[in-house]
Amino acid sequence: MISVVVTFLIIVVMAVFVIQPLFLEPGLEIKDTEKKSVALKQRKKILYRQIKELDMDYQLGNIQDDDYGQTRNELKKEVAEILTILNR
Amino acid sequence: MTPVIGGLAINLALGLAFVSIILHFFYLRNGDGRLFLSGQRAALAVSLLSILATLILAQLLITSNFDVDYVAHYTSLETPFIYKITALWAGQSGSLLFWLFTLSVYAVITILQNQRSQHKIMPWVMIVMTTVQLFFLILINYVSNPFIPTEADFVVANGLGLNPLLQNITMAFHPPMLYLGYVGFTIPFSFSIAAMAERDMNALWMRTVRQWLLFVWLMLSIGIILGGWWAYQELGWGGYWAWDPVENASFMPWLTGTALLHSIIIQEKKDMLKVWNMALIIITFTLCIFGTFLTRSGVMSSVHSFTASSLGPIFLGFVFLILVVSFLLLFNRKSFLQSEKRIESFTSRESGFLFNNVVFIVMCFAVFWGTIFPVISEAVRGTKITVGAPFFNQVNIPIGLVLLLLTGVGPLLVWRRTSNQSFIRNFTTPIVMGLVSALVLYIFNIRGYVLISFSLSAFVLTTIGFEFFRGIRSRMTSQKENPIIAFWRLIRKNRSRYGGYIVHIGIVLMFVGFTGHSFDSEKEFGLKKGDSEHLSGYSFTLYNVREEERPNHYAYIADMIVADAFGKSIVKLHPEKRIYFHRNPNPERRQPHSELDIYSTIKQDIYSIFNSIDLENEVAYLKIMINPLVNWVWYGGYLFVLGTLVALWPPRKEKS
Amino acid sequence: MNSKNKFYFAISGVIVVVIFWIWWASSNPADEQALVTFLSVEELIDEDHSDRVRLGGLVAEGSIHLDNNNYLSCQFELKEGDYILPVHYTGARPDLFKDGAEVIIEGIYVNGLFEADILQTKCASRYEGDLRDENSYNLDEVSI
Repeated sequence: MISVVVTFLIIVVMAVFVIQPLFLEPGLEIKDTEKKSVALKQRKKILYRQIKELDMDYQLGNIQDDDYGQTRNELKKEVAEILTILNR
Repeated sequence: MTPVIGGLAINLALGLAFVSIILHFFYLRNGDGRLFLSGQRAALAVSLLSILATLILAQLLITSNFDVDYVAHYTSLETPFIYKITALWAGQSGSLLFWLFTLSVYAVITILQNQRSQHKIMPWVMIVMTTVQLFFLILINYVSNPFIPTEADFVVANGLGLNPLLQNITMAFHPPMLYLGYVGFTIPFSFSIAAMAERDMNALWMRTVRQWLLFVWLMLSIGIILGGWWAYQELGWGGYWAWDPVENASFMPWLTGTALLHSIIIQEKKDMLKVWNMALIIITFTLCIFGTFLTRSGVMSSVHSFTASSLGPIFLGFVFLILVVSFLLLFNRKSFLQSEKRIESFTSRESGFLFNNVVFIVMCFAVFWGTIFPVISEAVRGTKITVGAPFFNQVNIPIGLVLLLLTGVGPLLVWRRTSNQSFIRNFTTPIVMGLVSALVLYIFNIRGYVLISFSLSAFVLTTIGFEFFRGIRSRMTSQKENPIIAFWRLIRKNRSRYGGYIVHIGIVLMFVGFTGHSFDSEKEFGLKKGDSEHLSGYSFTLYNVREEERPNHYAYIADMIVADAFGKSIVKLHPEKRIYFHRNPNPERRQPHSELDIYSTIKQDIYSIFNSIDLENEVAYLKIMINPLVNWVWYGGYLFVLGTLVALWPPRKEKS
Repeated sequence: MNSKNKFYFAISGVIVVVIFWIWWASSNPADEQALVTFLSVEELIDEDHSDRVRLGGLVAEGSIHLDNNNYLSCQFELKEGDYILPVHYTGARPDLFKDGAEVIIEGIYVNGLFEADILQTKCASRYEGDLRDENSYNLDEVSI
C-alpha cells in the first residue's frame, strides 16, 4: 500500500517538475544572464597571463630579444582589440 | 517495498531521458525557451532518479534485504558494514548503476554550474550527457537489472558473501576514483561535441573543459595508482602492475588524456591544434566506454571481469556509434576548427608538446595492440595467442624512456622558438649530470635500460631543479624576497607551470621505482619451526606458527624473524593464511586467503606470503620477495597528486 | 621544404619507427612468456606441440595430490570437455585452487605429462553460485 502511494507521489512530482515550464508565457527567450562579454573577459585574462609568463621567460633569459618583442606585440594587439570591443 | 521503488526510479529515468532529448531537439528547432527549461528539468530529473535508485540499492545492501538477487549474491550477514556499501560496485548490475550514479552527479553539477551561462551550447551538452545516461539506463532496465528479486519459491537465509579479495579498504576507494575518472571524461566530451555542433568555442568553453579535464584526469590517475597499491598489498604476486586487460583499459584513456592535457594548452594559448584536440577527446571518451566494456563483458579473462554476458555486442555497438557520429561531426566542422597559425620551430614548446602527444598516442596504440592481439589472432589465424607482461614491457620500456626524456626537455622549451644561448645554458648542466650518473652506474656494473632510466631521471630532475632555482633567483633579485617566500610565491603565481613540474618530479620518482623492479629476487620454501632460509643476504627464521579465530575468518599466522648478513635482526614478519566462511559446514564453501606482511623501507620491500600449511608434518610453506625501490612509486604518486592539486587550485579573484 | 611539411615529415617518421618497433617486438618476443599460444586440451593431445603453450580447464574432482615431502609440488588432472590431461606443478598455488576450480596453466607438454610453471585460477564458483545451495547453511552457526 505504502509503495503504491510513494510510487504515485514520485511520478506526480516528477511530472509536475518537468511539465511546469511549458505553462509559462510563450515567447520566453533564453539568454545568458551573465553578460556576453564574459567569454571575452576570460580570453583577456588568458592573454594577460601569457604576457606575464612571457615576461618571466624573458627575465630568465630563455627568449631572444626580437622573438620576445614580436610575441609581446601580438599579445598586446589582441588585448587591445578585446578592450575596444569591451569598451564599446 | 523499496526494490519496487528502485525499479520504478530507473524506469521513470529511462522515459524522462527520452523526453529530455526530444525537448532539447525541439528547442534547437524553434527556439521556444519553455522547451529548453523543461528539457533541462527533465535532464535534472533523470539524474535525480538515478541517484535515488543508487541510494535505494545501497540501503538494500546495508539492511541485507536478501529478497533482492543482487544483495543475496554479493553480501552476507557476516559482511562488515563498509563492505556492504562497497558491494554496490562488486557485481555487474551494481557497477553499471554506479556508473550511471557518477555520471548523474556530474550532470547535476554541470546543469547547476551553467544555469546562467553557456546557454548556446548547453542544449547540446545535455543531449550528449543524457544520451550516455540513456545507454546505461537501457542496460540497467533491460539487460542487467540490480533490483530483480530473488526467485520467490524459497527463502534465502543468508547471502553468498563478498569475495575476500575485495574485502580490503582500498576497494572502498579504488573503484569510485576510477569511475570518477572514467565517467568524468563525459563532461569534456559533451562540451566538445556541443561546441562543434554550435560552432562556438570561446574562452569560457576553454576554461570549463580545461578544469574538468584536469580534475577528471587526477581522479583517473589516483584510481590507477590505488589499483596498483591494492594489487601489491592484496594479490600476493609481489607486483603492482601486470598489464592485465582491465588495467590496460584504464591506462589507455589515461595516456590519451595526458596527451590532451598538454595539447589543449597549445589551443588555449595559440589557438592551434583544435582538430587534433577534438579527435583526442573523442578517442579518450571512446576508450573510457571501451574500458567499461572490457571490464564488464568478460571478453577478456581477467581478475576484474565478471562472467560472460550479453553486454558485449551492445557495448561494442555503442562504442561504434560514438566513433562514427563524433568523427562525422568533426569532419563536417573541419573548416570551423582549422587555424591559420603554424608551428614556427622545432625547438619551440609547441613542437615539444606535439612530440609528447605523438609518443603518448603510439604508446596507447602499443597497449591497445597487445590488449586486443589475442582476439585478433584468433579471428585471423584461428589460434589464440595470449600476450604476457614481458611483451608489454619489451614494447613500452623504450617508449616510456622517450617520454621520460621529454619530461625533462619539454619544460625548458619556450613558446615559438628557444634561443640557442638559452638552449646551451639550460641544458649543459643537466646533460652533464645525466652523463656523470651514467658513468657512475657503469662503474658499478649497471647496464642497459636500468642505466638509461637512472641517468635520464638524473637529467630530468636537474632540469626541473634548475627551473625552480632560476625562478627563485629571479624573484629574489627583482622582488627582493627571501628564498622561501620566493619559492612559495613562484609557485602561487604560476600554479599550472610549477604544479606541472611537481607532477613531473613525481613521474621521475615513479620511473625510479619501476626500474627497481629489475633487481627483484624471490624464493619459495617450506620451513619447520626453528628452521631458517636465506635470500639476498637476509635470513628468515620461522619461530612460531599460531592459530586464531576472528569474527569472519580463521587464521594461521607464521611468525618470522628477518635478520641481515651480520645476524642482526631487523624486523618480525607475520604473514597469515586465512580461511573465510570457516564456519560453513560444507568444506567446499570455505575460502582460503593469504594475507601478506610487508616490511617496507625507502630502499626496498621485504614481502612475505604464507602459501600453505602442512599440518601433519608441521611445515609452513612461505614465499619471500625482495622488491627494491617499490616505495618510490608511491612517493612519486603522492607528489603527482600534490602537483595536480597545485595546478587545479582555484586562483584568487583577480582585481579588475 | 616549408616548416609545416617538415613537421608532418618528422611526426610520420616517429610513427613509422614505432609501428615498425611494435611489429618487430610481436615477431621477436624478448622472452618465452611474452607471446604464448592458447590451446584446447584436445589440440594439445592430437597435434604435437613441444613449445610453450597455455591451457584452460577445470581441475578434475579428487585429482589433486600434494607431494608429501614438499607441499609446493603437486599433481592434478585438467579436464576440458571429454579430455583429461595430467599436470605437474611446483610453486605457490593460488588460494582458489581446489577441486572443480577453473584454472589457466602455462608450460610444456612432455611425454604425456604437462609440466606447468604458471597456475592461475579464475573467479571462484562460490561467487557465481546458486543461492539454493545455501539452504543447508545454518544461521545459528554464523557469528556476526
